[in-house]
Amino acid sequence: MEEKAPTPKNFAFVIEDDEDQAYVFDSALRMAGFDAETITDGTTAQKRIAEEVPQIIILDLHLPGIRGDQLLQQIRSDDRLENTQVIVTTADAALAESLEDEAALVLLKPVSFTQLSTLAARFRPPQEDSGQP
Amino acid sequence: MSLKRIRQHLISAMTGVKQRISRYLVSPIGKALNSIGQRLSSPIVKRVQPIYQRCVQPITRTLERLHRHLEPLLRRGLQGLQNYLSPPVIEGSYEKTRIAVLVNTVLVVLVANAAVLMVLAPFIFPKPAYFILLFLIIAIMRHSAVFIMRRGYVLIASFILATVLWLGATFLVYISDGLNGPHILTYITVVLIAGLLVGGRIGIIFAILSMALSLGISYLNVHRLLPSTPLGVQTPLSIWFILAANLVVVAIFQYQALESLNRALKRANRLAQEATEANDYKSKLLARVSHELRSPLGAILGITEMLHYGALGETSPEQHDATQRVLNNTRYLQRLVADLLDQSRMEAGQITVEESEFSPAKIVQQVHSLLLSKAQEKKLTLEFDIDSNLPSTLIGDPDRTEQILFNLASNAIKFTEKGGIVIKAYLPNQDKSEWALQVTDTGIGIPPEDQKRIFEAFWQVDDSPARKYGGVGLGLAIVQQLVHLMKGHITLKSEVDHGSTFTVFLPLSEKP
Repeated sequence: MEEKAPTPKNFAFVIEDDEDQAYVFDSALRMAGFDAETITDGTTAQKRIAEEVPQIIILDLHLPGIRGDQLLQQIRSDDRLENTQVIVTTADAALAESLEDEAALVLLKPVSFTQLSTLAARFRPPQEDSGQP
Repeated sequence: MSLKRIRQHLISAMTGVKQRISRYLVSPIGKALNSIGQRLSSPIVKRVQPIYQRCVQPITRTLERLHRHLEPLLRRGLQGLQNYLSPPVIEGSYEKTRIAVLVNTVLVVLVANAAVLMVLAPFIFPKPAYFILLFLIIAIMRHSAVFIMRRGYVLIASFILATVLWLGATFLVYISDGLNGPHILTYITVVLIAGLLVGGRIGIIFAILSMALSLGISYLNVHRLLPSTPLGVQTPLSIWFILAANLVVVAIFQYQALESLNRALKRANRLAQEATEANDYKSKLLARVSHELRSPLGAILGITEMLHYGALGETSPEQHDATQRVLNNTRYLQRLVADLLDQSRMEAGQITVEESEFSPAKIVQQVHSLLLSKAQEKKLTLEFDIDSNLPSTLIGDPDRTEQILFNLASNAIKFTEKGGIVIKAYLPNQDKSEWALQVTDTGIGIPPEDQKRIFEAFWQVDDSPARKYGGVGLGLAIVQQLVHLMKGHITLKSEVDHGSTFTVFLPLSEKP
C-alpha cells in the first residue's frame, strides 16, 4: 500500500488511539469483508488519508496529534474521498449529535462488535460481494 | 485580651522606674560626690565619700534584688489574675462557651463596678460599709458562677445570674424612688442580659416582671407605703455611675452578640461553600469515572462478542455458553455506567432535550423489540398497544422518550416473575394537550410508603427490599428527571403482589 498503486477495493481505515478498541473495530471490519489498517494517532492518519482512498473510515474523535473533528473536516473537503463513508465513534453524546450531518454514521461508544460489523457490511460495494454471510 | 497589655505595661513601667532611679538619682549623686571629692579632696568629703558609697551601694543592690524578686511575682500575679478573670471554656460546645463568656463578662464588669463603688463610696454615700459587702457578694457570685460553669452547668448559671441581676435591679429600684429613681434604667440592661443568656422567651418574662414590679414599687412610693430608703437622695455622680455601668454592659453585650453572629455567619458560609464544592466534586468524579469505565468496558464487550460470534474461530457449546454469560454481565455493567453518566450529567445540568419530529409508534416498537428477548428469557409476555387516535408524528426528543420507556419497561421485566408487561401509547384526554406512555406489569408491586422514594437516586442501593433484583437504583430517578425536563409528569399506581402501572404524560405538540 506504500507505493502509489490504486487502493484495493474493500479497504478501510480504523483511526482509534485505544489499541483494544482498534483491535475490535479492525476485527469487525474484517468480518464484514474489509481489509483494514489501524492508525493510532491523528498526524499519521492525516498522512495516510492523503495517500489512500478507503471505502470506510472508522474515526475516533479523541485522538493524539490532530483532533478527530479536524480530520473529519479535511476528509469532507477532499474530493477524492467523496464516496468514502466515515463512521465516527465517540463517547460524547453532545459531540455525536453535532456531527450527525457530516458523517455517514455516528456511533456512541461503547460500539458493539456485531453492530459495527453489520453496519460496515452495508457499505460494502455490491459488486464486490465475496461470499460473506 | 487587654489585660495582657496592661500586664506588659506594668512590668515595663517597673523596669523603667528602677532604671530611672539608678540613672537619675543614684549614679549622679555618686558621680557628683566622686568629682567633688576628687577636686576638693577636702578631709570632710574624703570622709563622706566612703560613707556615701557604703550607703548607696546597699540601696542599689536592694533595689536590684527587689526588682528581681518583685518582677516574677508581679508577672505571676498578673498572669493569675488574667487566668482568674478569663471565662471557662466548655469542651465541645460552642454555644455553651459563648454563654459562659457572656456570664463571665457580666460578672467581671459587675465586680469591677463594685470595686470602684467600694473605693468611691465613702465620698458619695452615707453608708459606705454596704459597698464592701456588695463587692464581696458579687465577687463570691462570680467565683461560684465560674465554678458551676466549669462543670458544664452553663444554662443553670446563666439563669441564676439573670435572676440575681433582676432581684438586684429590683432592690436598687426599691431603694431609689421607684420610677423616679435612676435605677429604673437597670431593668433594661437586666432584661437584655437575661434574654441573651437564657433565651428570648425568658427575656420576655423578665421584661413583664420588671414592668409590673417597677409599677408596683412606684405605686407604693407615691402612696408613701414604703419605709424610707436607705440610700436617701441620689447625687448626680451616683446617677452618672448607674447610667455608665448600664451603658458599658449593654455595649459589651452588643459587641459580643454581633461578634458571635458574625462568627456563625462565617461558619455557615464556609459550610455552604464546602458543601457546594463537595457536590461539584462528586458530580465531576462521577462523570469522570463513568467515562473512564466506558473504554475498557467497550473493549471487553467487543472482544467477547468476537469470541462469541466466531470471529476468532469456532467455539464449543460450553465456550459459547461462557461467553454468553460474560456478554450478559458486561451489558448489564454497561447499562449501569450509562445510568451513572446520565445521572451525573443531569446533576450538572448538562442534559438538554431536543425538539424534532418522531413517531411515537416507532419508539414503542423499538423498545418492544429491544426487550422482547429479555422478557422471553423470564417466560414473560411483552405486548404493546398503540392508540389509533395518537398522531403518527409528534415533536419532541425521540432518544430521551425512548430512554424513558426503555427504563420503565426493563424495570417492569426486572420486577416481574410471572405474567407479563403491557406497553401502551395513548391520548389520555379529549383535548389533545398531552399524550401518555404506560407500562403495566404483574410484578411484585411497590408498598405505598415507598412509592415516592423509588424516584430518588440511589434509593435501591441502600434500603430497598428489592435489592436482590440488582441495579444501582438510578433508572427511575433518571426517568423522572427526564420527564420533568420534557415538562411532563409521571404517575404510579401499585399494590403489593398485584403489579405496578407507571404512566408518563408528555405535552403533545404536532407538526405545524
